[in-house]
Amino acid sequence: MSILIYLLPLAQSGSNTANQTAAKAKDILAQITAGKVTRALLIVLAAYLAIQIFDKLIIWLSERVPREWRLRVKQFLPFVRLVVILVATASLIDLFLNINRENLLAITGTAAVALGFAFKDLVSSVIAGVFGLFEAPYRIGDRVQIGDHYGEVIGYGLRGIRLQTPDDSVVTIPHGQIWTSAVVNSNMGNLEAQVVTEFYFAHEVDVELTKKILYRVAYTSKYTQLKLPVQVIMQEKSWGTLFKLKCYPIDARNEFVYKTDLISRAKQAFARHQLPYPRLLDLESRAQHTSASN
Amino acid sequence: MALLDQQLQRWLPTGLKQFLDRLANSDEAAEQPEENCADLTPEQIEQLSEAIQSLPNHPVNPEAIYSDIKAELEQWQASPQSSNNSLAILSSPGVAIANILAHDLEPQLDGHKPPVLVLATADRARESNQIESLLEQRIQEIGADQEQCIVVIPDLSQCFLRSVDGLSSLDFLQETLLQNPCRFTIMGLDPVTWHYLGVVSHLATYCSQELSLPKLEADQLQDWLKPVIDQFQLQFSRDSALQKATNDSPEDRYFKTLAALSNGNRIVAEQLFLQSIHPVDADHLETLELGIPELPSLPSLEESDNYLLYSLLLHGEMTLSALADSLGETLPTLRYQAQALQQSEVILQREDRLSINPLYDPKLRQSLALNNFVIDSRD
Repeated sequence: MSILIYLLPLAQSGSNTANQTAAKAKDILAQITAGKVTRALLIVLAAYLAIQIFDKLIIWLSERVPREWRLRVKQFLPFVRLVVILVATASLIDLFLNINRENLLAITGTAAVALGFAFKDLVSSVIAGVFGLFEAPYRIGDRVQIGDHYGEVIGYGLRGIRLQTPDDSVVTIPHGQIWTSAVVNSNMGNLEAQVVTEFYFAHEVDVELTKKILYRVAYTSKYTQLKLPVQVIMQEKSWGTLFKLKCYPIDARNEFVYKTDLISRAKQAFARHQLPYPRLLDLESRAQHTSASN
Repeated sequence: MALLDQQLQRWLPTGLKQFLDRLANSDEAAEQPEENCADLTPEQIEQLSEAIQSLPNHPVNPEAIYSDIKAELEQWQASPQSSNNSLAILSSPGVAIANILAHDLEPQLDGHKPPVLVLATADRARESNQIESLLEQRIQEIGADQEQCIVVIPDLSQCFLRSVDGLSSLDFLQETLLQNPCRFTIMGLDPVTWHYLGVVSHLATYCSQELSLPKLEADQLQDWLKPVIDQFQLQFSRDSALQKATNDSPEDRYFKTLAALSNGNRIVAEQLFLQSIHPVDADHLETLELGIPELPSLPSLEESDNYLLYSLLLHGEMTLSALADSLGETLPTLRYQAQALQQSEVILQREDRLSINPLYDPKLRQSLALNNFVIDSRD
């Protein structure tokens, strides 16, 4: 009996709390009507269509303006998407929730707890994406290396970016990677990205002639951006001499075509001057000699 | 911010208009450059062309250029070892100065000691590795291996090719002429070529003096073309709307437009002039009128077209095989591409040599500058 006397107030207070919670929830949630649901669906549809239209419009425009403006036009795309999503989200919140200061605090507190646990990685990526818009570790049109993936950033979404790799694959990488991984960006918003081409010669190669040919090859390529420097550097290796030709194409998109052009014309010049390539047989005989003497 | 503002100022006047033109009618943007001239009979076109060819090479005697050249020569002769011994004279297109240096400079310096020797640069060697030997032969033919002489190279763009072997001829010119204080070298070329050579060779280091051919004013063009206008009794179009907009006479308005569109360049002005001539109406084909000159819009160009056109700008006239060498392309691929550009009349073919149509020259330079090529859009 005495237990019941203690339990009854508890039960009553629990009931009161539940009633208060229900009343609070009612207070926060606006009345959900069929009209509001329809409007919500229309808002979502409009936002989706707006994003599709802006995507296509901005990419179409970027391919038609002069090359100098191409990347700058494309870099508007994630900002435009963010604005559309924010406007749609704000409209939906206004539609279904009675927003005042108290309700807002209650909602954000609840949302923070729920999202923190359930959508931890997603939220991390979304926040990283917003940071990325302003910090710009990568932008649309940039050629980046993230982990094992290299390619041109062709899309900047809410959750991640899309990379188009040299073999025409599209890789989606969550923005959250920028918290923990290094992002190697080759051009940082510029049209040009340095291309490094390696050439291998025997030790006895005529160094001055080789350097002259490599500079000429770069200066006479139709793809070379002459506003940026061309450089030839050398390294001595056990098997021979390594030459690296560092230069920039007019458009970073032509990176691989440019490299092919440099190599094909350089090899023609090397053949005319009979420049010696490293000889593998020498390496093998050297290796045999070393093991025999041991 | 200042760089962005500068780039915007470069792009806005032409880039925006080109973009809007393209949006409006992307497949019809390429007007036929001489559509009014097409209304003329072939005989009329031939007669007009002959009449223009008989005019002086330059609308005015470029006294400023000749006096600058003479001043440089006097300075060099006074102290050959310590003075600058070369001079580059720029004009766009480069053929404008080439004609003057090839035919008009020598009479101006007639009787000058040391002798003035003009190097033949009408065409380039067929193979890029033969350019140097051909230059050597020509230098010997004109006797430029003398003790002291003035060597005139009317068109330097014909003395090299943008290829690994084709640049060797520049080394030869540098060693034989520019590094020799006993020789004074005067070179004519396009500013695009000059910028290119400044990057890829030491030519600009040795040749620190450069002059630009003065741009032509409206009244100078008017005086130059007067014989042709009188010969064919050309009338000026009297557009009433334009008449109200300006206080200029139709003749003044015409030549002001001509000077502005051609950017003061004689070659472009000549083609614009021809293009603006048309019969008054179908019933009076003999009576010719000068309409408002208009530069045609560039057709839609692919990226590969831009590389081809830049190469032609660099070299002036060139054969298809030289173009293939310069671009690193095969002949069949290039032939197809060049044919398409010829059909849109952006490039012209004279015998076996290709060149940029002067009517497209101004807009093409601006377009290439906006597409990240090494061109100052003011050239």
